[in-house]
Amino acid sequence: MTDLDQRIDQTLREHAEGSVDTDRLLAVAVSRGRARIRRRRTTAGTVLGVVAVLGAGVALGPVRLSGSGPDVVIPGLGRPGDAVEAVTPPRLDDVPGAAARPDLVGTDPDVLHFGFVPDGPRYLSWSVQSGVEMARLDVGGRTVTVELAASAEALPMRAQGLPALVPELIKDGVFDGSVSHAEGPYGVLAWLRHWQPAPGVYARASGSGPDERDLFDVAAALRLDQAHRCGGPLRLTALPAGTRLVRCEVTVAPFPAAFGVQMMVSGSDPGAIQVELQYATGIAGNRIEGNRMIGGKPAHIDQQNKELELLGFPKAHLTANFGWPAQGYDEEDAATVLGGAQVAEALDEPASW
Amino acid sequence: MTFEEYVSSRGPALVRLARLLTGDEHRAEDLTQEVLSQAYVHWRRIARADRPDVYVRRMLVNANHSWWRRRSSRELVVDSFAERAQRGDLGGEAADRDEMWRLILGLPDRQRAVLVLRYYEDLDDATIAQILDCSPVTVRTHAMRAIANLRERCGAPATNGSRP
Repeated sequence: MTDLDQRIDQTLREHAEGSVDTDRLLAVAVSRGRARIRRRRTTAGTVLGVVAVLGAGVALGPVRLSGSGPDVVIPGLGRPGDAVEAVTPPRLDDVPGAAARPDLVGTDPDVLHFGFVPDGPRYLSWSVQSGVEMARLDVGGRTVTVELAASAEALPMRAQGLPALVPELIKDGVFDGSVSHAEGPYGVLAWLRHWQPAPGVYARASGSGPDERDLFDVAAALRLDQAHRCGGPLRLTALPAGTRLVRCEVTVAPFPAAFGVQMMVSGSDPGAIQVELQYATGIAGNRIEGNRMIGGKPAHIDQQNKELELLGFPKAHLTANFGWPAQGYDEEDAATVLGGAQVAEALDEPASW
Repeated sequence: MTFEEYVSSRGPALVRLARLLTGDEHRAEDLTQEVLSQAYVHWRRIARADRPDVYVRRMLVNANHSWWRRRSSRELVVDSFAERAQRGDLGGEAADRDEMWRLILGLPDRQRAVLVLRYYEDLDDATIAQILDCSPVTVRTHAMRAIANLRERCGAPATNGSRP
C-alpha cells in the first residue's frame, strides 16, 4: 500500500466512524416503510404520509424529513401561513392539574396534567410515556418542546426537542431556571431550559432558534391548574387481561388536513400492541368489506404484517398492530382492544372530542 | 434473513457508507433511513436475492446520486470545498487527512463511490460493479481517474504502487 493509499484509507475510516443508533434507524425505517405501504393501499394522496412521518417524529424524537439539507434553517414543523388550525387536547374537568397533584405527573398515559393559556402556543403534538408528559408547540413558526415529570430522574438524558447531535446539551439539569445553549446542525442554536414551575414539578423546555425567548414565552403560557385527555378522539375502553395503556402520542400539526393518534398497550411481559388512528382528508375509497367481524363491525386482518383494522371510519384508519417490533400478543388481543375502542364521531371537529 | 435482522446487523455499516458518500452526517442518516424504508416495502423480494446487501448498497449509492443530481448547486458546493483545501490550518497528519477529505468530497459521485467501496468496504471490483450497475472495467477506470485526481491535487508522487 502506498502512502497515498494509506492516506485515503485512514481518511475514509476517520470520517465514517461515529456511533450509530441502530434501534432508532430500524424504528424509523419500519415506520417510514409502513407509511409507504399504507399510501399504496389507499388513494389518499400525500397527506397521510405526512401524518405517518410526523407520528414517527413524535415517537422517536426529532426526525429530519427526507430531502432537508443545509438550506433548511430552523428545525420545526410549524410554519406561519400554513392553512392549519389549532387543536387542544380535550379538557378533563374532574382531574387536578400538576400544581395540585405533582405526584400524578406522568403516571397516567391518558392524562396531561398541564395546559396553556387561551390563545397560547399552538400544539403540534403531545404525548405521555415513561413518566414524562410532553407537548411540542409552534411558537411563531419555531418549535418548542416542553416536558414535565414528577422527578428530575424521570426525564431522559436528551431533551426531546433537541437535534440529535448536540452532545453539549445532554446532561443532568439543575432546575433553577437557567438556560443552556449550543450550536446545532447548520449553525442554528439549540436552547435548553430546566425549571420548576411548581413544587414537585420538573420542567424542561428545548428548541432551536436565534435566542431563548421562545422558551420563556412558553413557560409564561404554561398552566398547571388543569388537565387534558391525551388520546383526543380515541379512547380505549377494553384491554387484554393483565395489560394497560403505556404510551399515548397525538400529532395534530397538519390539522385540519390530517392528524394521528398512537397508543401502546402492554403488560408485565415483553411485547405490546400498537393502536393507531390516522385521519386525513385525502383518505378516500376505504376498504368496506372485511375478513373478520369485531362487535358486529367489519374488520380486516393483514396476516403478513399482523395488523388488524376496524373498518367504517370515513377518512380514517383505526388499526392495532401486534407484529414486529412489539410482538407478544395475538389477533384476539388486538380484537379486544379495537372492540373497546371509542372514536369521536366528528373527527374533523376537535371541540367535540 | 428478516428485515429487522438485516438492519440490526448491517444498519451501522450502511450509515457509515452513507457518511462517506454524502460527506454529511445528517444527510447520511436521512439517506439510509429513506433507502431502508424502500427496502422494507420490497423486503421479501430483496431477501430472495443472492446477495441482499449488494442490492441495498446499490439503492444507497443510487439514492445519493439522485439526491445530488436534484441539487443544482452540487458543483458549486464541492468546488468550494476543494478550493478551500489548504494545508497548515491543522497540525501534521490531521491537516493531511483534512485536506484529503476535502479532495475526496470534490471527486465526481462515481469516482468517490468507487474509492469508498474499495478502500473502506474493501470490496472487489466485480462486487463494486454490481453495486454501481456497471462493468468491472468501468470500475477500474473510475478508480484510476480518482487516484490520478487526488495525486495531482495533493501533490503525491506518481507511482504505480496504488491499487489499480
